[in-house]
Amino acid sequence: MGPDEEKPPLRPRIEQLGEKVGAVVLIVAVFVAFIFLLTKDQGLDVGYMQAHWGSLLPGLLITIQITVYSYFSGMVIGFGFGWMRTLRYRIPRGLATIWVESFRGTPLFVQLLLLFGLFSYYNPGNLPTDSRLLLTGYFALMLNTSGYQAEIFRAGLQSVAAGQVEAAKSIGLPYWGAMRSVIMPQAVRIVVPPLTNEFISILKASSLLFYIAIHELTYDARVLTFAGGKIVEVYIMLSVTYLALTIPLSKVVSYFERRFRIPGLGVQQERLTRRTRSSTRFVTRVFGTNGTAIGLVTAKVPRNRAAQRPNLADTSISGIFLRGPRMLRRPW
Amino acid sequence: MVIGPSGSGKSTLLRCINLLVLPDKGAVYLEGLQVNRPDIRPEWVRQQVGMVFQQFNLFAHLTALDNVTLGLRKVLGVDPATAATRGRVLLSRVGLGHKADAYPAELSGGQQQRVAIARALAMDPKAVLFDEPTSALDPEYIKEVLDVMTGLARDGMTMIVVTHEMSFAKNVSKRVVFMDDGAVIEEGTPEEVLLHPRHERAKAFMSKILV
Repeated sequence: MGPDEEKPPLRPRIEQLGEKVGAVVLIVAVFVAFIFLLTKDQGLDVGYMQAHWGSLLPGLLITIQITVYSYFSGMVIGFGFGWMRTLRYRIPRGLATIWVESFRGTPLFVQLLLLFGLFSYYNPGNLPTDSRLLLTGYFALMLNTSGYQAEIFRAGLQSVAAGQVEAAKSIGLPYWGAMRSVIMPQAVRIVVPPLTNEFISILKASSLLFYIAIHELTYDARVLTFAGGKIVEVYIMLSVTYLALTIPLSKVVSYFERRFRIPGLGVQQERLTRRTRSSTRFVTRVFGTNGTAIGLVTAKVPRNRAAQRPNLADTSISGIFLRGPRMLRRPW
Repeated sequence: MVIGPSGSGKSTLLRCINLLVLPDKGAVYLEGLQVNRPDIRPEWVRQQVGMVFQQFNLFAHLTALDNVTLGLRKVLGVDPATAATRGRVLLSRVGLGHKADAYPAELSGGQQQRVAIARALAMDPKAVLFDEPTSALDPEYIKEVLDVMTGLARDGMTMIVVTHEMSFAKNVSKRVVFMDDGAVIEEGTPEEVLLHPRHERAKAFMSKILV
């Protein structure tokens, strides 16, 4: 290509950097000022927070327990309905659609209230109040997540190419054999990221259960606010506790995703892009056949501003090939 | 060999033979036995009749070796060690002994198609169906696949091939069938059908593709 006729003036790098730093400083300043105002010029009572973190522990355990139970039993139901939605037959497919839409189309909170009403009317097995409430909350989360997980499984099963199923049949595998040996192993790699998101959302949604007096994490935090009056401190503690659960979880799962990655399957490449005025930089991790990262490849594509499209002719590609986990850092 | 214009029913014919599509009428015979009957399981028929697809359709989550041995292990119940040994022999036969541990995404189109042929052969089929095996390949890979198929034909394997590779059809096939509009219009030796077609539509087709 010919040289660019018109070169718009590029701002100096330092100016671009200054913009970013300024934004971060501004956000932090606003946040600090906000907290400061809320706590009436007293600042945060860090000592109080340290002293009372332990009293959130019982609620934390209940939260984890109820989330894990309802998530995994919801997974069984969700898989069933998700699979039904992939069938050709109208009746099971219709039933599954009604199930999915009912739970996805109404607020979880309303579902919780409805179940609460139901279980108060018809107390199954004359349970004591505590267990009845726990069961109500457990059912509400399980049914709700089953609707969402059904959609995830449906999408995962349907994303396996039709040719794969045909090939499985062509070597004589029956339906369930093809399901087990070909469809499921491929679908799993597609559903894991959305299933992780779903776990995190159901964990967060479990905070609603305080409303029916289940003694989970949020309930314990509220009790603490009544006792000490340190509302902001307590809810910051609460938020940090939820973050301490959700962030490591998504990190751990994405580690396993990378570990069990197969070339050509699932979310194949991680693409970190950095776009400047004159070029776009793509970075792709390169994985060995055993799933571990073996290097990074960077492609820098200058943009032809006149034509408003990437200028592939002048693309430069560079690679860093290393072994070990260090190279997972960005090269810049 | 089955030839004919697009949409003439060639692929459907192949899919009817191994019962991937159940024929509405007519009979499919395998060594004299009619197999499209309610009392014969289609899985059993597909086990006897291998198939190679236009888009290869290798199992994307399995290595080349596992692709070849999956049927042995899951359908025939062969133990993994024996299956692996046989799988390696088959891969060497298609010239890919060194690629046993590669995943399909790491293989070229021609290599993938050769793995697909090995996968079909693993079930020790009585016949192998090829559905345009070279149509999705880059030109430089076509020859390696045709060479494997020619070798198979020399070894006496029964093959039904849908193809647009006319010189291959002329040199390798014993019988050529020309299809149009869902029906067989001409059949005979390659000489008769490819060089001296009698039917108008066959003549028109041959003149366009030039043998």
